[in-house]
Amino acid sequence: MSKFLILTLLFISINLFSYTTNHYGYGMCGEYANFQVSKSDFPSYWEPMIVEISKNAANWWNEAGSEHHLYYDGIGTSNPEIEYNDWCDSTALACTSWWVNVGCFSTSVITITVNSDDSQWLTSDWEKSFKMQQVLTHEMGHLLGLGHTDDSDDYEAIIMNTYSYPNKNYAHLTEDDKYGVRAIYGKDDQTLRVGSSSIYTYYPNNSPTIYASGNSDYQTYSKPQLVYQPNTARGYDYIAVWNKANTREINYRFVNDCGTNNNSICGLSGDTRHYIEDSETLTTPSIAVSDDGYYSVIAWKQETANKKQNEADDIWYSRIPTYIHSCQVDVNCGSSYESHKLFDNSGLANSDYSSFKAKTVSQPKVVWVNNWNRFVIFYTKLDEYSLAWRIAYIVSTDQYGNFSTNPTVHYLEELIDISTPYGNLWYLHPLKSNWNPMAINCNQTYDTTKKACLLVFNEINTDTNTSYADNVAKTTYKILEPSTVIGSFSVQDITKTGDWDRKGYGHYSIASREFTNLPAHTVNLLNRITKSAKEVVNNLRFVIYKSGTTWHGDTISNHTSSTSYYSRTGYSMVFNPVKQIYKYFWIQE
Amino acid sequence: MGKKVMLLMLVLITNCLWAKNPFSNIKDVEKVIELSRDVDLLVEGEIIDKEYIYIHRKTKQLVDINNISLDNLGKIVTFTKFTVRIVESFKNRGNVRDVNVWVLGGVLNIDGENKINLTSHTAYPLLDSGDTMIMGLKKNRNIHPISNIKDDYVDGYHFYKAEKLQIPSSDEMIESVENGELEKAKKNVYNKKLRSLEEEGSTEFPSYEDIDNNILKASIQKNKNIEAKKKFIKSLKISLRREYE
Repeated sequence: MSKFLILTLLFISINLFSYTTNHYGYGMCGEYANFQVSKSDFPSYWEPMIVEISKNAANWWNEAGSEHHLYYDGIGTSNPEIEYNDWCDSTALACTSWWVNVGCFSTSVITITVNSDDSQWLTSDWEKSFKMQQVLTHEMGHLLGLGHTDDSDDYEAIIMNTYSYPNKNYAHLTEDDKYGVRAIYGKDDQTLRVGSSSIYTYYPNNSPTIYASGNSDYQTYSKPQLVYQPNTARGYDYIAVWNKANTREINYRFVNDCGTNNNSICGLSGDTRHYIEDSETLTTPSIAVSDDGYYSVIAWKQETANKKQNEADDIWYSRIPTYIHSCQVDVNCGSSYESHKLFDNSGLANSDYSSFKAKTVSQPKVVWVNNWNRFVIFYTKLDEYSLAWRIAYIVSTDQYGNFSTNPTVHYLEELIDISTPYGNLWYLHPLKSNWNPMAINCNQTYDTTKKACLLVFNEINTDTNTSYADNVAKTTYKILEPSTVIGSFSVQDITKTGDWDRKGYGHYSIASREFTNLPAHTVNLLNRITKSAKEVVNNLRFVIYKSGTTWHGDTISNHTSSTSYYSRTGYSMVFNPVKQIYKYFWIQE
Repeated sequence: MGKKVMLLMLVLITNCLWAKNPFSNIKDVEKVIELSRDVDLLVEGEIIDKEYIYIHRKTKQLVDINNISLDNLGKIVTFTKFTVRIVESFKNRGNVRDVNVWVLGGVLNIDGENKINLTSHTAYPLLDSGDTMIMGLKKNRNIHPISNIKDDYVDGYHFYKAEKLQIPSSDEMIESVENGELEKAKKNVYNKKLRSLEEEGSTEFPSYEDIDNNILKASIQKNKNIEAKKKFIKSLKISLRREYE
């Protein structure tokens, strides 16, 4: 009798453990693992980028929402090690091997081997780079304890599939991958914590601490949002919004300011948790409240079903009568609110790119523009002509947050002056971003009388003619001043070019630098971004914080490589704009 | 206890390739034939022996097991060399009676405890004498520069396309696989029930036995599957004979 019977029976009992956390017999021991890259093993064309690619692959898993994290621990051969060698099967691009006996995997015996048989890799460097990102992500999944998905036709389970398929989108972890790793190590949700009388928004730092709320309704996959509600007639100053962890449905609740601690919110009694029907997102929902506090719009990104490579996601929104929070007056509202897809009919019909219509590559950001009495939803949209991503926006048809089913799509553009031998040339420059346009606040006063928006985004570099220029970006600040015509902004650049200029490809010059000589109105805007006067600029590659009376910016990581390879590895980050960054954000006292 | 937990873990991480044998109907016969065109040897084979070979990952020298400890285990690569007796040869049949199949991974006993080396691609080092499968085999590449074993390695084969071309063929193996599938089905039914009760806010949960009806259905299905797979193996063999005669 073979061992097969024993093996198959044992396999079944896996399910008994599949939702427990670590230390139950599979997965890696401990809460983190430091891996090293045996960089010198790799041939010269891999060497400059292999470390960055490895870190990117690790970060994908780190952002999958499990309690286990992988950290790069320098160049070397300590296990877990990423080496370049010839041990794998002939047709495999890489393999992971480990020694086990009982219990979890010891980190000291795991090795990822990248197949040194070069014929297995594609010939173009760019393709190699992207392929390597997929391959290392796949192998790190093994390192974490995931097996192969066995269904080659399962469109969703692609990262851990045994085989690769040319038409599938490998630029992100799939739900299957995330649930797999969470099943092994448990969830690392960012938690909207519910205490006896308060809600805390909590952003994990590099060593995330989990605050068990004891109430899964308040656990979230994304950063919880808190927005000030101007009209307090109903007795609630704030609206808290989050996506509920297990269903991913958008939830919100009316709460109050405790008054003593900027991060704590009181007043849970009296209002109940509300939800938006058919809303589902893994990213941060955005909320804005009208100036009178009567209506709110929540916008979010919903992953397009059966997404093809490079395809973007749908934008959805819901309008909520926030003043009448418990719906005593508005007969159309119940305990939940319906979600609507935001239409964008500006795409090229019948073209190869028509599938990008109404789609976003970033989280949408909704704002209230007081001058127009309208809500505006900003997003980044693939430009049909340049294939770069332009910042687009759609304006609501009224102050109640209704949007047309055939809306006009606007693009942010600014007038640029270029000096030429023949004089000055002016042209309209489209604002392009490879990250979520964020920190937009459209209801702040500057220059004493004007109300404008502050827009912070990762501007795509268009200065070079290199083939991967789109991956090079810098943080840019603009003031958007609403004109008298609804839907039209004038754009003013307030970026301090000297401070924010990049050095090399994808390398940012700023490092823990104080912002000096900022215009008074900029400081004014920064101070007003949130009521707490402390803001993290989400999803950019910087944090901005206030220390004492001055504002500072820090790079999230200091990229020292100035080689051209870096921006290629950035490619994957472009396609995964949301999840890379969260853990780096914190509230800076 | 130790051995069972160890096996449990191993099977999970290797995805229990044989427990997920996807073949069940006539269309799959065509798939197997298509894939088999790339192999150097297609046989029904029984494992009759196995041997482990230990190599230093970096120096690529053979390592004496007495020099392996927990401290340097991470730098040791193991191969399992199976001796496979050919029961029937379908493609490239010859006079060869036994062939060697090399698989990355293996077992080493340290201080009385078995340590198992596996890779993400295969749990095949766990195969044992008596296990019989239809095997798609490819000739080993001339890549491992370990002088003492090089010729032996290059003369050998490796499994090609994993479970797609390594198909349990004896009645015993088919039945054990399906017994495993039955247990999995039971567990799925039970877990699904628990989840739905949890969502409803129930505080009382049924025991495993309370879902007897569903389990009965799964058992009936298991018997059907066993018959289907045995039938499949029969028809596969006939087709392979015809294809490569």
